[in-house]
Amino acid sequence: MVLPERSQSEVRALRVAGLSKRYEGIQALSNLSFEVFAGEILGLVGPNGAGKTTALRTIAGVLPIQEGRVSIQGRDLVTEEVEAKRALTWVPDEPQPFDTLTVEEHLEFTAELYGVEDWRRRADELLARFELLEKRAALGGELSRGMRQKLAFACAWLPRPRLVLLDEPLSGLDPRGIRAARDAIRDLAAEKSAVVLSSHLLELIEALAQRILILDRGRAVFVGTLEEARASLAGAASGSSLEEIFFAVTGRGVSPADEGSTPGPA
Amino acid sequence: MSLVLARPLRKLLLLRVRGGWRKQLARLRTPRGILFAAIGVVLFGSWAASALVPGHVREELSPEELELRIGMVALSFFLLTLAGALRFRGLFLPREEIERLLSAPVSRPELVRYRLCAGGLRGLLGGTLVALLGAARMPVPAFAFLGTLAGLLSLTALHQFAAIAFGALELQSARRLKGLARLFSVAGLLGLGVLLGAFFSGAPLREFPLVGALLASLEDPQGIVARATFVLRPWTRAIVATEFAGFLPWFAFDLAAFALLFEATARLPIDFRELSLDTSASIAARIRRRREVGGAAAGDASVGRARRVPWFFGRGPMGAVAWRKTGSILRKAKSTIGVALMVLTLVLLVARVVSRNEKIAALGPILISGFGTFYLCSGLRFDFREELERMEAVKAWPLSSVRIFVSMLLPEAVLVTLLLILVVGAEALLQGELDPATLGCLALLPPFVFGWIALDNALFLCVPMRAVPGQEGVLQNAGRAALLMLVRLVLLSGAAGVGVVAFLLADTLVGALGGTHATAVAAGFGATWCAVVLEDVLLVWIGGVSLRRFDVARDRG
Repeated sequence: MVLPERSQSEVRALRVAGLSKRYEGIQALSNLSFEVFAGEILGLVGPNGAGKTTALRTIAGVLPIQEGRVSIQGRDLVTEEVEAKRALTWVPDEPQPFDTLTVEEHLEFTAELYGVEDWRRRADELLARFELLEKRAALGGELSRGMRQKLAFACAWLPRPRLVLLDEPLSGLDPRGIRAARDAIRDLAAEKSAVVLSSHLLELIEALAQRILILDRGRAVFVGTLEEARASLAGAASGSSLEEIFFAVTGRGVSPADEGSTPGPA
Repeated sequence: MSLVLARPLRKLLLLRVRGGWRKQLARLRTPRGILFAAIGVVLFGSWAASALVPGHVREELSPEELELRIGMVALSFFLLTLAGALRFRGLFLPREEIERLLSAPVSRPELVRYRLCAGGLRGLLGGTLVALLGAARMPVPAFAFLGTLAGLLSLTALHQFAAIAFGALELQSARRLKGLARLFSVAGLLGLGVLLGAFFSGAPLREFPLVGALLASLEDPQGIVARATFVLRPWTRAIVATEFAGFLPWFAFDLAAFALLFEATARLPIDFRELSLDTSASIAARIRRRREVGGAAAGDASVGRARRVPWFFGRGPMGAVAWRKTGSILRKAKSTIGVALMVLTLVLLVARVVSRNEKIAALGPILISGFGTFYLCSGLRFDFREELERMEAVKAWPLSSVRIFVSMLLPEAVLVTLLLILVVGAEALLQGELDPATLGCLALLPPFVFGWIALDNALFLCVPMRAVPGQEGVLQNAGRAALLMLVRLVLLSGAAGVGVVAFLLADTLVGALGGTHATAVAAGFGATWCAVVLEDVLLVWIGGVSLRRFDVARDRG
């Protein structure tokens, strides 16, 4: 994994500061802070109920911000909501296509939504990339789970967003689809888009993400590279995999070197 | 003021309208779809035509009386709209729009405008029909039609305005307003009970203090109800207008009011996202469950620790299937059974009065059994109609299809029968005697109820279409309902015919042999009972075959 150089010229795609969220007595997010830069893939991991989806939905603007700040490409998500959202696309864990719209119409609507010029050529590329060319006239309601996922990718990739939020993106995909999705995520980062990738598939995160953010019970328990994780977590061996680190951090097998604050150079 | 939708949302609206038509047309590509749609069109068309015949139901009322009546109808629509807004707070977004549109680069006012337009379009068909039906009764149908349509459009906007505003109140006070909606419903039910009780008891309505005051107020042009309808006068005046000069100013006002309300709703400075997510999730779950089931079976299972469900129908594979269903009923239908008991008590009251007034003792138990079976079987539906999404598992069970069919239906049939026996028994207790009609009803109830449910399910398995209010496939569902009614009528007539023939034969025979008339009645009843049981056997066989032929890949409703 290569840590991107932090410099003045580097574009900060996402900045989350002190984000907290409370649902009916449950602290879903607690003082969450992190940044993602253009061209970077941040892996978001954590046990079930850790607050990963809540964090992503809040950043996507689906959930209102209770406490804290989120800015996308320097635009505040509260005060400049529409402009901020114009820079991001969001693929939820269970994409729901419109039952009565064809695959192509989904792309047509997305192009209109994000003001994409000459969208047909780009749409054809994406349909080919995600193996949807034969399904372009199929209705959303007729698509299988994997096809729906691919359609969600195509829609999310279409406007060339500066920030893409992906929640469990490989669910329901066949091996070929998984490979296509992995390549597409890499290419997206290569085109200087920032990606926040949430998944339980730790090997996927390990293979794609430059940095990882481990959430546990709404708190960021680690933000940094895998090497930094190995260095900062007491008891973690030098060759520890993300899986071992994950279990160590969330299962209390290995305690963060610096209790009480987010370990790692966030 | 911007009444024009943002371009992407306008595009979405157009695409969705086009998609909706495409789906409707797709339903007409199969013979089954065409058949049921045709039955639905005929049924619906003949009903609408009968209601639209000019002068058919027009009453001679003075202009003041007419306006007061229209005002009362408008007031009830207005109150219903507000009550509905208490139930579903925030902005409703269908599940396919929630994540997509809330994260899209469109402002919240634009989203509200889009949903208002989408909701308005969706309600336009129903609204046009209501307006047409209402117009046929008015002095100038064209004015009434336009006025009614303007009123209904305003109600759509009002509903959304109130839903967002109530939601904000709820967020501020951190209290659930759903309780208020329930309170309104209970008060309405109680009011209805008092009115029905007063009506059927034969006592003059005015003797009841509350009802008397209400009636007096309804008839008094200066009464409280008339005054309450004052704010709705711009709409009622447009509807009852008799000349163009009297219509135009009110209609123009109505349109302006709608435009203002539309824009005010869009610009409400309230962040409705939390409430919308809550409401949209709850409506999506309701639609999904209704698609699967409908009625009480669409309810949530009780939260908290569940009690153990007894094995009422014994052990073994059939017992296990029935046990699973029993658990579903006991955990999901508690409140519905409570409401059913209330309704049945009301029916008992009505049945008592009717049988006393008509001086026919048999009417009471027959009324309870007939209406009770219809009402309970429509509401409970803990059978195959609950299982459409789980048919793969059901079909894989190690049991013959006939046995699965019977054991799936048995718990619901037993529950409905027991409830009805309870009420018929209570009627007999109140009457102080167990007359032959009551005994006959008690004996006939088990096979009759089972047959009713078996027919519903056998036809459902043959044509698994799900009726969800506001969803597509309305015509096809109406067609299937008409077919169901027809088949039921044939079966009931068949059983009754067998009884009558048996009675006539027995009567002739006992007449010749010197027996009593009661013997012939008993023979007729016995023959009917046997015919119903035979029909049950036939329906179970058809149900078994339908289940065996059910294709989980194709028959998804």
